Amino acid sequence: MRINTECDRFDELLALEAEHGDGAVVDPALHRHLAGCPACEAAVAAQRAVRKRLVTHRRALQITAPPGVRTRIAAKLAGEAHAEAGASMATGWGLRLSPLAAAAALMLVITVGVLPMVTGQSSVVLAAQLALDHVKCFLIDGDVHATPISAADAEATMRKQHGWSVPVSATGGVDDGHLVAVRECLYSEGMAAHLLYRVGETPVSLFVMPDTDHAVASVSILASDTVSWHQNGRTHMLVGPAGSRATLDSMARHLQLEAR
Amino acid sequence: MPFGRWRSSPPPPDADSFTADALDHLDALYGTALRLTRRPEDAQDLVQDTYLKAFRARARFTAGTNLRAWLYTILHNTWRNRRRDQSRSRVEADSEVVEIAAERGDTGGLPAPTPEDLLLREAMSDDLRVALDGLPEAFREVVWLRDVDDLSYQDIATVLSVPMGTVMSRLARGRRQLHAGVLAARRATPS
Ligand SMILES: [Zn+2]
Ligand SMILES: [Zn+2]
Repeated sequence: MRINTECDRFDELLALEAEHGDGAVVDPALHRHLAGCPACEAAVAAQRAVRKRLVTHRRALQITAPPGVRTRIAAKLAGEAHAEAGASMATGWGLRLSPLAAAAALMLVITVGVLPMVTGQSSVVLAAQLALDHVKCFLIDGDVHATPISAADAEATMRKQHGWSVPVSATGGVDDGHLVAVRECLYSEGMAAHLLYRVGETPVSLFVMPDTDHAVASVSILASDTVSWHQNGRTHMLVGPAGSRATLDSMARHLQLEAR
Repeated sequence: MPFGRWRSSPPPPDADSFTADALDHLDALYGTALRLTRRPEDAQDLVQDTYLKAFRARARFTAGTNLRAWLYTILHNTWRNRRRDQSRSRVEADSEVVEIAAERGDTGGLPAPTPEDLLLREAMSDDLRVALDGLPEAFREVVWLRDVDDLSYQDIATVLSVPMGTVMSRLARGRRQLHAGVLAARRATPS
């Protein structure tokens, strides 16, 4: 029985003492005490024995996480990283454009600014806004060598950013198409989900927005072709470079079928 | 307009390497979570929560310090908060109460073992595992962090949010109880 207060004084040091081999001196006063106190001596010996077994069996004592846990956590963290990257680019894209690109974007802004007066048609204005965003976002995020992202990743991002569960097509509905980025973009009426596709080398954007009363139209504007439609309570618009109308029409047909 | 000439800026440069480094400690974290929760589903949930919190706070991690200890700290804090949220949980921070209860053999207010727990314990038939499993949580964690995980006393104090002196006294008592437990387990199942 270790009852005396002298023993209590050394209680904490016993843990340290047990980690040293015989002969090593943690504290000379402790050693003098141990020499005359069988109870503390036994306590150190017990600790030393237990520690030795634990250290020896370290590997055997470790548990392996069940299969799938690593993959699931890695995917979660990748989703976090993607969301972070999207947020930082949405706020800072202007700083990342080269001077030439910034000048081009500025010119387009000016052009779009006078459009409403010229046309007075809201669907044309919407097409112009999104065509501008299309150019801007491909500059930032649509590298021709970008790694395709999976439909599941894109859907997870949209769910997170918009709370939308929108079925995403990994190919845009065409054979040589692949999704390269998902962004959240501002237009005059709120936020749009912006899916960036490469069809071969051609950059094509799909914008998905809360439903609007814009007329469905095929508009060519700002050196871009656009196609829009309403489906499942949302307005969709495809934007590609001038001359890509056939591709856009084909994508629109397939996307509408896939989303049905 | 020449598309694709400007590369998008990469996500925060440390994100991927942080994930890889942190996942090196997955098994250790899962093992800890399983010891604490005693249920595989709860353990997975706790580990995932820990990784998400760590990832979001990774800017606050000091490179070159012990990543495993940092992850353990988040895991233990998360666990303590969860138990605090359960109305019947004990006040784990009061080390005096823990110590006294532990000397009496109180298991730390854990719910009665489920069939799943018993199955888990059966798989740990080794006398050392049985004895470890029987230790009160406050002692078991200190002994594990020191003798199995090889954390420093200072890191253990941080992980468990207790003073160093408490780490040392819990370590001494935990090892002594473990020693007694191993002897008892051997007597119960002579081999
Ligand atoms: Zn003594
Ligand atoms: Zn965009």
